[in-house]
Amino acid sequence: MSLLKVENLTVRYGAIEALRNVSFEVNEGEIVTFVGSNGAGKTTTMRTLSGIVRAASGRMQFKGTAIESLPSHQVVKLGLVQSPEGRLVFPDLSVRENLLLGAFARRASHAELNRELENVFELFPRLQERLKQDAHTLSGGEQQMLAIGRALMAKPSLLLLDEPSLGIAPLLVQQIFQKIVELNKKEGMTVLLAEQNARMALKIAHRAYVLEVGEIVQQGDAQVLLKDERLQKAYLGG
Amino acid sequence: MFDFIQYLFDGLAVGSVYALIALGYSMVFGVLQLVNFAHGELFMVGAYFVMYAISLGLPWPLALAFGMCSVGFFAVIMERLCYKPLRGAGKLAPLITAVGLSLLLQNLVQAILGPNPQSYPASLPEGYFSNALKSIFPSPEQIQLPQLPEGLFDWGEIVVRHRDLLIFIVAVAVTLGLELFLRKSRPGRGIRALALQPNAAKLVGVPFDFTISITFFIGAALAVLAGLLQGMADNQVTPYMGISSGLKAFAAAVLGGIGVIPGALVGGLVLGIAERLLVGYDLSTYKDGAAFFILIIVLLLRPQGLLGKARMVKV
Repeated sequence: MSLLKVENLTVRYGAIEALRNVSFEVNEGEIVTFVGSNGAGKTTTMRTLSGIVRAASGRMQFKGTAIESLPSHQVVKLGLVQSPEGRLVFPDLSVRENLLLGAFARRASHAELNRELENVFELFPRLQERLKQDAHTLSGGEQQMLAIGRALMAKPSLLLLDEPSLGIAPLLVQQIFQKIVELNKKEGMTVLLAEQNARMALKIAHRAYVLEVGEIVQQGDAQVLLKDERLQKAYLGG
Repeated sequence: MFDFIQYLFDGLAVGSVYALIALGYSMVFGVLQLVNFAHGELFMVGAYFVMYAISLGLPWPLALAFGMCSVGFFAVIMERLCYKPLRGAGKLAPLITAVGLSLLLQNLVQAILGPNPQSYPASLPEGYFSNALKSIFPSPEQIQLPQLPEGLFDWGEIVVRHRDLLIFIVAVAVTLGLELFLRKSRPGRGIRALALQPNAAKLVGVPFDFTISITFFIGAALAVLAGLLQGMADNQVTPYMGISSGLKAFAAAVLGGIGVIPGALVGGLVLGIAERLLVGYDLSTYKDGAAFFILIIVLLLRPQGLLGKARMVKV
């Protein structure tokens, strides 16, 4: 069943068209990835979905609700939650406070919150070790875990991950991608992943869309795209 | 030496009023990076509002609550009409708007209520509006003025007026209460999140417009409280009282570290006491310059303010 359906999305920054007539969908239980180089429009897509940027035209439906004109906090309430590019953790707050703010939209009870903190720690034990540290003292990889953990605290039905590998040591990137697969397999979490590291992303995704200067130029089964000649030349270094 | 300590105590009251106004500057700057120069005018409007409400016969706690709510909502509407449309228009446009709003409010009050200082209890200027009000509130038989205590603590060389101490305690309590609100309450945590990382706050579901409104409301309400205290202390209100107090409170907010709540209290007290010291040592000519002189020195040595945290901007 289609959880998210986007039709003919166009986004402009002043005179520049960042996205042109982009259509895609995400089904329940899938990992879908957007690949493409810097400036292709991946982050713009994510920001538009979350209601941070407004679309010039087009339709976005999440769980059957039109979200193109909803303010960001209502999008979060519906269960469309993002871990943003650059992580954007709350620098002066502790890891724990960051995670608790993740549940801001939900008005959950203390017991519930503690249970979910446990779930996040199970996924990222490192966060539990750092619980009382201020977020800005964490390494890039740990901050990325925190950003994903914070998003999970909102109990998303669709998790948006924008560039989780950006500026992180390769070993940690591997680890984080494994966790994404784990989330998807064990908990049936639906994931929409925007990633410059096309090879990593295609390996774990079910389906993929290729963005080039604001337009979708290719789409299909991730494993098929992984072997696609044109894509290999453009994004996969061989 | 005793003189010096005496001046410290004497500076508490005026410093506390600066602090209460500075809290509003600081909160608004925290969430929007906007210096709301109209904030000093909210203090002035609040002082008038509460004074007239008292003069109409309202018991003063009611008048104060009424004034805090009314001016609070006025600030919210002002933000929606004047600042919200300018979001994303850079920093200069809202700043100029703030200066414009400040001038507008000053002149509006002067045009409607007259340029002369008025003292408690004041009657509204004649006119349709005031006649209508007077018919609702028939001339009060007794006006209940808030009584600032008149007593003294007399410790020989040093004398502290109860009223100064009371004003100081109010300012400290309000600052602590505000800090508690920001840390523990749901809207408070939203305000903090928005100040720390606006886009992340939106992504965890903090309602942006609503949170901005709350921030303006609280800032304005505290300015009204400051307006009442100042009005009582001076026993008069004028359309210009917001200019110097507003500017000095802004200096206090920056001095303490703008965006840091206890910083506003510290900044306000430092300025209030500094002014009193100058007056005490026969330098009262320089009193109004003191705030800005101190501000310049502190900004040179500690640009983030006394309690502010220096932050490296990662590129």
